[in-house]
Amino acid sequence: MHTLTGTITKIVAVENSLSEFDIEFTANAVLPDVKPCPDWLKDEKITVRRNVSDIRELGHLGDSIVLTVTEAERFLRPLILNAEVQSGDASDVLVRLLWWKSADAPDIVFTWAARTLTAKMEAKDGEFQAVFRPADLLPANFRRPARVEAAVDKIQSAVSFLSDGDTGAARVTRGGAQRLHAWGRWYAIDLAIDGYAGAIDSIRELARDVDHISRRRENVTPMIENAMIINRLRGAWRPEDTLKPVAMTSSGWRQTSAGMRIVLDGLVDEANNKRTSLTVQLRDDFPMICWDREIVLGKPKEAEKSANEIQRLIDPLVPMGIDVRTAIPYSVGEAADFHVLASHDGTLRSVQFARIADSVDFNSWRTRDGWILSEHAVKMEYMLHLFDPIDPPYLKVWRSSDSFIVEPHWESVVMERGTTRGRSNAFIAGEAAGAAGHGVWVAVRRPLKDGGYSVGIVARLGPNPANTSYELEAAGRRFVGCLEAAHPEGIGTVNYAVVDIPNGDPRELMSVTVAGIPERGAQ
Amino acid sequence: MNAFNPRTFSSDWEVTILDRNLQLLDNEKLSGLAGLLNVESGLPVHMDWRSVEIGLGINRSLDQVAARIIDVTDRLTQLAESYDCTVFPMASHPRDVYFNASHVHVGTIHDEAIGLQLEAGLLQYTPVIAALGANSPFFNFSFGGFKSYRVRRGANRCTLVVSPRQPEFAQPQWGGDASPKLWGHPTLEVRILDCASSRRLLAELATFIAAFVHHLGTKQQKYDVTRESYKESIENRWLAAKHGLQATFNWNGSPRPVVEIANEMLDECGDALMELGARRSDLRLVEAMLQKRTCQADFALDLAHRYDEPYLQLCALKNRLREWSAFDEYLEACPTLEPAPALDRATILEAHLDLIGHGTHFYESRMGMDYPPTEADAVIEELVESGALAKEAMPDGTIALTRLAARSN
Repeated sequence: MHTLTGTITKIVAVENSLSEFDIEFTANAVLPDVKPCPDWLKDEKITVRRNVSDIRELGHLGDSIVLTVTEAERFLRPLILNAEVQSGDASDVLVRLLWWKSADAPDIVFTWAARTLTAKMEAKDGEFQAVFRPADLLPANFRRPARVEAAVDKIQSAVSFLSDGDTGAARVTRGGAQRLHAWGRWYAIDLAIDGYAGAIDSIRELARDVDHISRRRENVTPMIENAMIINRLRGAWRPEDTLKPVAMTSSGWRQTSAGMRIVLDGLVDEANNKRTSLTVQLRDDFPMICWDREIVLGKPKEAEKSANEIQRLIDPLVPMGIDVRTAIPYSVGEAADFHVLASHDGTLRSVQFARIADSVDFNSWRTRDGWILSEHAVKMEYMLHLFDPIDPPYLKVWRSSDSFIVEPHWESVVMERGTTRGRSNAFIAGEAAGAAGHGVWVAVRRPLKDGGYSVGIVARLGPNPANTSYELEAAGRRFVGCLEAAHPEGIGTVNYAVVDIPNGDPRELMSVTVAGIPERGAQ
Repeated sequence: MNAFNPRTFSSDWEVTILDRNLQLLDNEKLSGLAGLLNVESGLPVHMDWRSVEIGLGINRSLDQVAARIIDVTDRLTQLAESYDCTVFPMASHPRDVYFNASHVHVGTIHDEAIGLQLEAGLLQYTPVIAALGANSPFFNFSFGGFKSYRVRRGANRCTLVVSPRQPEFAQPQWGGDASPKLWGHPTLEVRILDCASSRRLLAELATFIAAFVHHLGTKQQKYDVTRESYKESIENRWLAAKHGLQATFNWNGSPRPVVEIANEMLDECGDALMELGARRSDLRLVEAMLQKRTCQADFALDLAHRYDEPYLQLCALKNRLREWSAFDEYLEACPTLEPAPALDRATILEAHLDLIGHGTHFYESRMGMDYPPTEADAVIEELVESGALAKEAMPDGTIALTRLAARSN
């Protein structure tokens, strides 16, 4: 989470209080990235109230102040729409302005295409509010998706209207950051597009409405990318955040027979003509998010070397390694319940850290079966990371102050100019899982349009599994069957099944066993 | 015998500087500020990792070092403020991974063999110095578990338990808690002291440490380190990091409050103190600390407890510590703290168990108390036998440990 720093311009004791003070300040920067404060805060006088036992702890006029995450929220994200994405019939949108620079109610302007609608906000409960009625701006039977932008002076937000049950994607703003919000049959995800080269910032199960990646936290995060799935490029010693400043432009998205497909492009290093593209697929047929990174190394644009310079055959050598880092946030008290599971030469192993900053780089543990499972058993949250078993990475796991980080790594290899190098990954987030030396599975539910739910099971059981059966008990019934095989490109073989339970309640208990591997916690 | 002649001392004091947005200054900016201070003060001030390292030159008395500290820190404060920055004299950072120290150099010694004897002699006393100096009660989002995370974590391998050396077999080593350092200046360097927040306290501690080392240098004594005494020193070091001046050490086989031992050390080195122009009563902050069992970490903890967010802790502490005397003032009004219980076997086992999760490399357990291999392995075996830990060999032969006992975090 982010916060603000500022410069104190006034300190006023609150009447009839010995310890409360109103502190007026101008905003300086947004932490932890130390980025400029939003335009709407520039030169504005902002006030927060503090309760201190020693006024000297506040500082003097001209000193810095830093806000809590909670204090900063209304300044950093003042314009809140009660729904940024609406599926199905368009309903009214409540718009709340949590902070405004004066006591006078401002106008709010809604824009769609060339149409605008201006409304006066009303003071209510210490904030300003307005209601946006889609029919006032949008044509009758408007074609979806449609994006309506809302603006109060420089403060902006937007709402996207979608068809019910559609898959698709829309640009959204999350706490000041630009995201591409995409929704498929099983998950809704956010991709970072104003930096981090298309990192996954949110994976939300549709039935439980549980987000496995993005959570509100009370403290300023140590590194904002600690709760994302990101790629890092390996330097000589370690993976580096080369892709952190890389913004991505969307080349578009389309529905294919396999699912929703999004393509993003970005420039990594102009001088060295290094580019990246990212293809993201939300599969329809079974729950899976495919995330394929490509690094393209073109001919350098820099001037040719002079004839006097010594040229060596090794000079064009460019080492290239693409790592992927999954960071899953935890809250105070949850750390002991988090495990990372993987097969180690046919034996199931579990990794868990006791202390912040503990890490293990398993230099001899190659995850040859092509899977790593992150588990929070008590919260029933599982994240299965799949990759191609023909190129298995080494396992690295570490713990930060608020995230568990799984960062399998591959060695760098020589890359020649005019070629590309890529890395395919797949993620399955779910509510139940099983793991053993010979395989792993995850199950997740999605709501059905006409009621009930589907259960999707995805397993990795090796190239020629002897047992591909599954047993599912739910809604008072027992479903037994065999998993089918699929071969997502760059991922290797997966086995899957989807069971529809039209009369079921997605909140009811279910029990799953796959290939004889029992559900975690049920052993 | 007089191992130190002439009797001199100094400190290399590492002080962090924060910019307006509470960010650490980068090394280039620090080197510029340090260089300017070096030229202006004539003192060996340099840049070190994330800090200005204030070398206080060669000193011969408490008054001399105290005056120098005030001169150089007044200028540093002004210099930092002129660039819209603030000094942050603290041994650790609530959000970051660095540690700062106040290394004390004790001179002048030219006989390295005697220095190595003193290295062995100081083994049992460095934990007392650690308790007096404890000033790092948070570190990298960890908070309140230790009064000196710096000592607990070996200052990122910059202050470590000394491996006793025989002069006949010794090689140069760097990074010990207290060791002769003759390849640089002819001094014995005591590295275990956390960065001081109070400049008066730094002057007092540097003078006291120097006087005590000078005093040891007058003794015709060979210090034999036994398995028991080594273990005791290591455990006392852990207790100092954990409890500061509230610690109850195990001293020659019996429990004893660290403040009692420090008092005894002060009495012992009275003559040496006089040679540095000080009487025991001149060390007024040290005296008050011992009476109240209160160290600088207690002040920082007291303040930090009022703020949940590490950035807010940092901001409030910065506002107080730039005065340089916040701790001196705190000491006048703070309550006397109670002594902590002596170390028992259950605490030792828990300190090791705390480091173990699932599949933890067995060598992590060495950090439990910095025990040597024989002691550390015995603890692990005891935990395995009690059913608290499981031990298994990984396919590559590495031994992995898994905690079976319940954990509360």
